[in-house]
Amino acid sequence: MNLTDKVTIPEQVMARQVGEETVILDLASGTYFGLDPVGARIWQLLGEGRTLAEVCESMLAEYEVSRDEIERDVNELLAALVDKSLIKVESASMP
Amino acid sequence: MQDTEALLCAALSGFNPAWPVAGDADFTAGFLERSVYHGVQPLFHYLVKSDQAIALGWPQAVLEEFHWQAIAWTMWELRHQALLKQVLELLAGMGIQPVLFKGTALAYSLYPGPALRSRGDTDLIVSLEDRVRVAEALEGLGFMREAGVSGDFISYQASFTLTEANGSSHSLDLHWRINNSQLLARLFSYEELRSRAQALPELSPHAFAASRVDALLLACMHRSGHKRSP
Repeated sequence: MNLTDKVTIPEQVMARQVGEETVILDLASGTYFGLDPVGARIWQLLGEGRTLAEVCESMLAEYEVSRDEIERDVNELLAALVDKSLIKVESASMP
Repeated sequence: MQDTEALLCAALSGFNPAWPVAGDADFTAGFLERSVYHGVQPLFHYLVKSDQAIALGWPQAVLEEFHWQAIAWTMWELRHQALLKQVLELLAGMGIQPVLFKGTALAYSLYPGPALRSRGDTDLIVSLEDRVRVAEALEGLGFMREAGVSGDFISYQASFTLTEANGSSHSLDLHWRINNSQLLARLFSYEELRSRAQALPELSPHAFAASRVDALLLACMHRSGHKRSP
């Protein structure tokens, strides 16, 4: 994934607060994915249509974390979400 | 059974009870069975903080079961909500304004989140004149009418179920009188309930529920019916 890539969330995928946890639910497949508060914040930023670079910038401003760490964590989270078809990544280089 | 229900009651009432019998598998199984029977697992998960419960000796297995049930009910609610929105929009387009009552009406008016009020179906009442058109509309959306007795003096309701491709099923109980008992059927007409109905904007701009006073009276009537024929 590239930092200029943009993420879209399919219509049937929704996030909800369940108790103390934020969960992502795919209504079509029944897939469930739990997020901690940091993951939930990343999800919220993605839902606002930010690019990965913009997500990382916001996280850097909000949390005490190095750029390397946040870029690695965002990439890992996104890879897991792509793997479960909970998001689609659009390459910035695509026409 | 009494001990497990008293424990459920105390936990849901915010008394933070300790788990009474460590390592008793039968008690744990009985407790989980009663929580399913009363449909309170998502509500328990919402009200009871897990770290506090662990400190009070609650088994991890019980808390995990409630956690998974809360997620499962959230998933069901989102699907059910999408379906209800579709139904209510279609009926509104036909000039029909059903009144929701019992579980779904309470879920969207009294609870912090609708998934906290688990239920098997949605009850709605329409006027006697609209019942055939509503039934046809539901069948047009893919609902199957469940086999049941018909006839004006035999049954005042019909059940419709839609099964989605993923196996999830959703039922609507369509009423044109409030109760199947001849004695109680005429107590609340659709028109009377509609005149006092309250909007449920969280569900849909077309969603209306029986007023809180009517909801309380209907709950009493429903309970008396269960006492007579459990």
